[in-house]
Amino acid sequence: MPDTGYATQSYEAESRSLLSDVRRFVAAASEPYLEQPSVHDLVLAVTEACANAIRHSGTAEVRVTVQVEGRCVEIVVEDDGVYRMTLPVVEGDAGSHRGMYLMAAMVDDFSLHRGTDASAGTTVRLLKCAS
Amino acid sequence: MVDDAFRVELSDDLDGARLSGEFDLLVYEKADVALSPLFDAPGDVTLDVSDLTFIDSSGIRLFVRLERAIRDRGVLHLRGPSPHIARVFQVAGLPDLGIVIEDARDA
Repeated sequence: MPDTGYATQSYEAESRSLLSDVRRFVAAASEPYLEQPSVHDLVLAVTEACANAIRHSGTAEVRVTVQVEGRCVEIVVEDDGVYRMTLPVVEGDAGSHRGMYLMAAMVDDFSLHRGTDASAGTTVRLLKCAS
Repeated sequence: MVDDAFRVELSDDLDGARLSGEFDLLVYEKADVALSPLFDAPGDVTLDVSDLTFIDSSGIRLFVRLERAIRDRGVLHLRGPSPHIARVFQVAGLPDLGIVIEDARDA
């Protein structure tokens, strides 16, 4: 990762190693700037964001960008799909949105921009700062 | 190179298993199949998670399902999590479901 603190990687959504590949990338890129357990927290949050993208959006590709701003690392996860957000209406666990909750709990700040059928693409921003 | 491939090793008595590597959405089905004998366990089930290096919400989901399946007959124990993973268990609320998180030395 360059010292300017900016790097993007693209991943095929079908790849069986997408999530572990993303974890390697994000851990290596953020370790110079964050300590544990913050690196692990960020890696978990980005795993959840990417898992959401490949489960719910129908995208062919997921792009992950790492940016360093001051004492904070920001991860941007982008896809080309339309994120189908639904609330669970049946007894069970698959729709509990535990992943979204865990993602939010692991970072200092996050945002979700959800595209539409007319203008597809989901962008999730995750911010983790050195304490 | 560190091998983080997810693996499951069932105990001979089918009352537990040892999990290792990284548990994420992309290994969920493999884990579900591998752990399926434990859903019919007659009593407590203990999963040794001391060699688990990562877990996401899909792993949490499988543990919640397993706990529900055995609830009438026994308790689910998760033994020896790393500090990171123990914190994920806490944040996800597993102790509130009656799942016991224990140190490796409690064995």
